[in-house]
Amino acid sequence: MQFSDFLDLFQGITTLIASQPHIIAARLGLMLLGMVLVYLGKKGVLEPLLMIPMGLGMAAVNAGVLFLDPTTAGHIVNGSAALADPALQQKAVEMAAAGKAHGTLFMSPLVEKTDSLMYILQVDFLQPIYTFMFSNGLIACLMFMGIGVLLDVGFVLARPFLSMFLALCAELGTVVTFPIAVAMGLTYKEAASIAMVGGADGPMVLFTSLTLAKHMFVPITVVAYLYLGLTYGGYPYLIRALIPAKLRGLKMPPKKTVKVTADEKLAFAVVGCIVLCLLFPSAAPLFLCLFLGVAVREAGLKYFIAVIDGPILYGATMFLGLTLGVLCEASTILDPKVLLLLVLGIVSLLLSGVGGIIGGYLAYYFSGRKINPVIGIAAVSCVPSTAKVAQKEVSNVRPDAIILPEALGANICGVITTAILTGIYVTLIPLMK
Amino acid sequence: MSRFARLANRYWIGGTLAAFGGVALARLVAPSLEGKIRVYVTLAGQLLALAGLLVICIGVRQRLRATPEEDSARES
Repeated sequence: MQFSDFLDLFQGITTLIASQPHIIAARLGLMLLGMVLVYLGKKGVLEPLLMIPMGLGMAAVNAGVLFLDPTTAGHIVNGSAALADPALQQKAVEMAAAGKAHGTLFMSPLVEKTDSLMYILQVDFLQPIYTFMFSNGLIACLMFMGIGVLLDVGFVLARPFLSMFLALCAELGTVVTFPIAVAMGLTYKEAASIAMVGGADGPMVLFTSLTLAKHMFVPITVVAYLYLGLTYGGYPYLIRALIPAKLRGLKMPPKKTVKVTADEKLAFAVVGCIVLCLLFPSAAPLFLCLFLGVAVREAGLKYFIAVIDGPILYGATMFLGLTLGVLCEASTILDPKVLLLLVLGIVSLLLSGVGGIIGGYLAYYFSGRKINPVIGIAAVSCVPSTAKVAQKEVSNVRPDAIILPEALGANICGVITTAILTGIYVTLIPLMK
Repeated sequence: MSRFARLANRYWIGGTLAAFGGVALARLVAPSLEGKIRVYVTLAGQLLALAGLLVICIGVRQRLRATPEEDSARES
């Protein structure tokens, strides 16, 4: 028995030592980042529902690397798309045959060939979730269904002009980041995917990147969710920086309380869903799921509501977080474009926030200084975080000022506008050359 | 106001017709055209469809503005 055989007992460490220096650094860095995400999630700085499973998954997948047996490694190497360099491909095949290939028992996202995929489905425990829920966008659609159940489109129907105007302004980042990303060297498809971060809607970014830039969807989606977690902490500073306290405390004139009926909301959901599906069939799954949630809510189907806003929404959120974390394996995520994505993601989200506030100011002036400009930031469609942030900032200055109904209208319209922009990008970008 | 009357007012009918008319323009008429006119017709159709949805929203807003007056008239 040799010392190396003893080390094989602890293959996580052995594979770490046997890796190239940049992989060692990335694995250690990602384990540390995973722990930080769990900590920040627990502290409430980042969204705990996503960050705790994501952080733990990230740490575990980079710790749990082992030497794969030749059969499994062979299926992964031969079942994935061949590497561009034939010499590297040959080396990978030889390593797999010798039982020296590194891998995990979590999932193998690059396997494409059916036979190999069937084998891997029986080995990697998260592979069924990835293959049947993640790579086809089902998990994004389930989350959207959950969001639909939480939405009250009555806020949009009661204030259509204000809501739509603010929602359009708050798409500034989504629109402007696209040419910036192209100028910085990304392809149209990659640029559109990272620009969607400005829409501040995680499932939409996931759907766009899975449809347009599947090779980059892991870093894009991870960047998106990390930043979306930051909106709750970062946007208050943006509001305070751009809107003086006097305007933040502006009390809006009281409005008559009249209810939009469930019939009207249901009819709007049906017409809206059909029209948007007809216009943008590529994003039809998203529209269907969003408006199905709205329809279930307005039809008062209590059992469905309980299933969708409980097990489906929270189950999808947990597995989304876990799968994203597990996808952050050092060898998968190491891409020179990640740094660029980090910059573009924050630019997009910042521009959308600024665009929303500009919209708020315009609404303030055009309404004869009656509308509180803070409402603008709520049009960034991170439901309902941005609406809550807006109300909180207003309440800090003047506790009796209520802007939540208007803020929710803009917020919900922001979701619909972002879904329309997703449809436009997913439809038009493949036609651009 | 009855449920049907609430839904079947001119805003709902006009908005729905405009929305589906826009869809027809963008998805049926535009593909049969060529060149720049195709792009313009597609865009016009998409805008008309979205404007149709906006018209429905305006209809609901009008109804909300009118409702308290009706209710108060009924009470008196």
